[in-house]
Amino acid sequence: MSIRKAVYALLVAAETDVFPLVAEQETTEPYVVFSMRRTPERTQDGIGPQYVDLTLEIYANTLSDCIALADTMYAGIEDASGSYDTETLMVGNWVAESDFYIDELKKYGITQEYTLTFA
Amino acid sequence: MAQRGDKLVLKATHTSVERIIAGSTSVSIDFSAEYLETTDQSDGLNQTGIGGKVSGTASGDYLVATDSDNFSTLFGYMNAGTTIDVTVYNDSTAILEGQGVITSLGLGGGLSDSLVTGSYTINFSGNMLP
Repeated sequence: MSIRKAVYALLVAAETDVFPLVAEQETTEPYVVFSMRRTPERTQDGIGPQYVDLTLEIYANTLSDCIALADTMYAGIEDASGSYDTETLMVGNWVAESDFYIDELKKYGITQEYTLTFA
Repeated sequence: MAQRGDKLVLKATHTSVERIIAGSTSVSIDFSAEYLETTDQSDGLNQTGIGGKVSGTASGDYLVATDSDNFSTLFGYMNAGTTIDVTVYNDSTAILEGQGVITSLGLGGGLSDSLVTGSYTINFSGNMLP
């Protein structure tokens, strides 16, 4: 489970307003909501490296703020490596990015996907 | 009746240290025997033969360690032409024991979202006793 803490540590180092799965209603924009899917690389010695498919949803009231935060998250995750909450991140790889707009909330959004490889 | 894939384990030993090929992700054991033909005129159109030399190999893949220790150890044995002791286990029970020499090693890398992998082949030498 410490992989989850490591992912949070990685994200919060880039941006403090990051929330797992859902953000509180009164959260000040811009902010990031993230979710993850974790899969193992098995060896005969047991579970070896682990992969985390990480999805970020970035929300802001203006497109420029949304893009700025997306760039911040990219800078903090792409090619990142090191120790996070006792786990060793081998590398963070950006996979994809797409845009959306929520008309009812008048919010701009950017979805980013990354793959994190933990040793 | 079947067996989990991770129960088939190859251990390569040299001197007194038993060493599993660390980070192994696959292992394959192959044997073949020569067919010595003994057909003569009296056999008419029917071929006859007897079994000849039996030879075998063990091969597999593994994840290369951060410090390359598992590759370096295997390369050291190969480069020195070292005969190593080989034991194949099924569910911790030795089913084949003998000796061999490392005849091929491979290393593979790629992009940042892939891992460095290694491969090896060991040719058995002498009799592999069950």
